[in-house]
Amino acid sequence: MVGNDIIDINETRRSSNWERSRFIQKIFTIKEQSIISASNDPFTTVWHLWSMKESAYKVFIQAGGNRFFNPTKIECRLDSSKNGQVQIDTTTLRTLTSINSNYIFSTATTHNTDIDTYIFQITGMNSKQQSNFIHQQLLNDFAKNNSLNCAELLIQKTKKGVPIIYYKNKPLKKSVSITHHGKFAAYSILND
Amino acid sequence: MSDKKQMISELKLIVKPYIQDEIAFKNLNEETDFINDLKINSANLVDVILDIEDKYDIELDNESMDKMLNVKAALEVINTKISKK
Repeated sequence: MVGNDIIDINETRRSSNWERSRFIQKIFTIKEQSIISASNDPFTTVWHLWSMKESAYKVFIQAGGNRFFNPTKIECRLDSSKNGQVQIDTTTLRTLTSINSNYIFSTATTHNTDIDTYIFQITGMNSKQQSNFIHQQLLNDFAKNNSLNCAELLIQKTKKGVPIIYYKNKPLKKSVSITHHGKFAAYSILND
Repeated sequence: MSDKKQMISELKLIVKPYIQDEIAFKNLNEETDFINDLKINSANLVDVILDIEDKYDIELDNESMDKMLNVKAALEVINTKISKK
């Protein structure tokens, strides 16, 4: 299974204030707080850890976990600037993060599995349009790569928000994850 | 304890800056889900929690936050906390 999360750096600077009183304490464990305070670039570290939590949470939900909103229940550990581990209850997930001046992007997987990710820069779309755009991209690529008729493909989200690909109205056993934020959208797909 | 209608309109004011779905916001009711319906991103949901704490002068511990995925649950948690003050 795969979960992903993209954070548009400019959008985050505009819409979130991590230095707001009590913000850090609400979302990070004591261990994570010490990673942040030891960092040369706390802004990036905060959102790096956050994207790890988000991507891991998506795997947890895909795996059948119940929705919750308690970010401190998810604990991150950094093994390197890219590789990390995230603990949710008894589940440990491996994460991979890439950071540039535009975005922070993380994926989480249950095993060290092979995933493909495609990141798009998009402007002038509202949240709904972005979501439709990235769904369509995924389906176009998926149709091409598997020689399927795109018109027969469909993505639908479960009640918990997990995206499922349908072919001829039958759900496929293919783990995908979709994320969009600010000017960026991405999808990740697990290769079997 | 404030009445439900008033609390919903107070909550509406709190979530307004963070919503990304205007229609769901306009139709906000007890069943409205902060993330699935209003499309509030989860980092901003932390802001919503902090704004609620400030507005009602309460503290929402992790256990209470855990449940606050929709309007109904949020109202219940807020009311419980206020009544314990």
